[in-house]
Amino acid sequence: MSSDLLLTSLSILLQGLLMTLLLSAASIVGGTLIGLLAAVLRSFGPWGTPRIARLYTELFRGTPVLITLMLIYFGVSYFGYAIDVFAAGALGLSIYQGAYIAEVFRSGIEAVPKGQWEVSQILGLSKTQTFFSVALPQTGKIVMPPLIGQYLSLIKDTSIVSMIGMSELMHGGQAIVDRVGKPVTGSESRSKSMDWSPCCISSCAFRYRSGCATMIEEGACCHDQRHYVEADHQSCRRQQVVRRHAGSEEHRPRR
Amino acid sequence: MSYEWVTLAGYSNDFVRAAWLTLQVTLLAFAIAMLLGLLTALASAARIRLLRVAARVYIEAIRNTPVLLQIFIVFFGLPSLGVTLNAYTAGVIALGVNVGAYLAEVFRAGIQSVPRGQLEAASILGLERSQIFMEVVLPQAARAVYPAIVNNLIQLLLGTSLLSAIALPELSGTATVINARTLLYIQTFAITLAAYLVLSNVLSWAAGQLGARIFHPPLVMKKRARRLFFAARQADRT
Repeated sequence: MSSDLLLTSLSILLQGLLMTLLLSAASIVGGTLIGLLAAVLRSFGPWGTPRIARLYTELFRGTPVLITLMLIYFGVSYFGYAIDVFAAGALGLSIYQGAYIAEVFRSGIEAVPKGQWEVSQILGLSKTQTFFSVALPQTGKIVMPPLIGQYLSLIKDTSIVSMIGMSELMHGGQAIVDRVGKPVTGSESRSKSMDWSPCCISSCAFRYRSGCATMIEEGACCHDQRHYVEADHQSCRRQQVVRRHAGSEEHRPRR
Repeated sequence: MSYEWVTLAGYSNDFVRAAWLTLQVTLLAFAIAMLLGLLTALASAARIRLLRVAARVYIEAIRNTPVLLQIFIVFFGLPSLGVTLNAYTAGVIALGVNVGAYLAEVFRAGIQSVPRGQLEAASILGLERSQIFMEVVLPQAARAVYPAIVNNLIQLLLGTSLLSAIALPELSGTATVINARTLLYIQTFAITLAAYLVLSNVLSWAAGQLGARIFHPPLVMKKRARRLFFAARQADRT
């Protein structure tokens, strides 16, 4: 464990760390969007889309991420296109984690009390409006803890992308081991501790974030009350919107 | 079009052997994980502080690092400490240790979910500590955590695909080799995908059957496999 080795390998490890962070960020955004879409389609989708969404979640929750990644990375070239390894990794991870995130969102959507929907309907909100302004904010609060757990496992899954040849943190550590030939005393352990640190940082950050969420949940701030239709806080935007809609319903000329 | 499938049909023996190896590794690693998980869950509730700390460190260290890295450390790292393992043993140990940490948390949650009144009632009835644990806490906790355990088993099955990185010829490793030999990317990986799907659904079905048999009253779990295509009609629309 000489400081010399540390200095020479640091740049590789830092580059790997940067790639890991970038890939994680891209996959978190992609996975959340895909997951949300799949969850919405499964709960409210027209015609055959619920079944397709269900097939999607069952398929990717029942197969390993490695196969998904290889299928995308090699499969795209089978059809005659070239795909960047970063793009393949981000796409594969997004699709794979999207299936898990979809289940998280679905449980959240189903956990919103039915009364909220009924009240919104009485107040004259359309289904779309109800979903985006009433159900989704409440869903967000319910799904936050499992969603964070899913994000953490996604960050760890980025190490698998090294198996289709991307040089992220893990791959960097492996390259140094190949050069030095001392896996444990060399850099693997350092790579491990460094791989751990983004997890710790993000975990702390996420914990902080969810801590805020629970603080808000306890009613510290009125702004949060807009999630609920029943409260009568004048300053809350949600209520104003609801009132406006209720009003517009009243002012509509009768036949 | 069909010649590709005919080519791959020649490799069907390899696929079957690989699937069997995958299943073997999964079950062996799961046995280790159950043992480790139970011991760690017990240690994290122990009276001795050192045991509690050790359990905590194990759980946090394993749960916050990628599985692939742990596999590499067991396979490539241990030899420099004088322990040389073949790919099969290293894979089973690495996965067992990994899932053991997750199961420890599951067991801990299960043990905590048993109401306190049960413990108090048991100690008033004059049961010893070990008796309370074995005959009062464990049966109730097992029922509560059974679905979570099955979930971890499925995750473990999917995790075995990473053992292809240390050249274990399980499903993914075999698929990579066949892929390199035939260059039929889509077909090879589609077959592999289907194989994993069948394995995971068979395992969760078997676990559901077991759950319905060993618990009284029977524990009914969601039937993932059968609802896949057929019974989605009414449920989805509501």
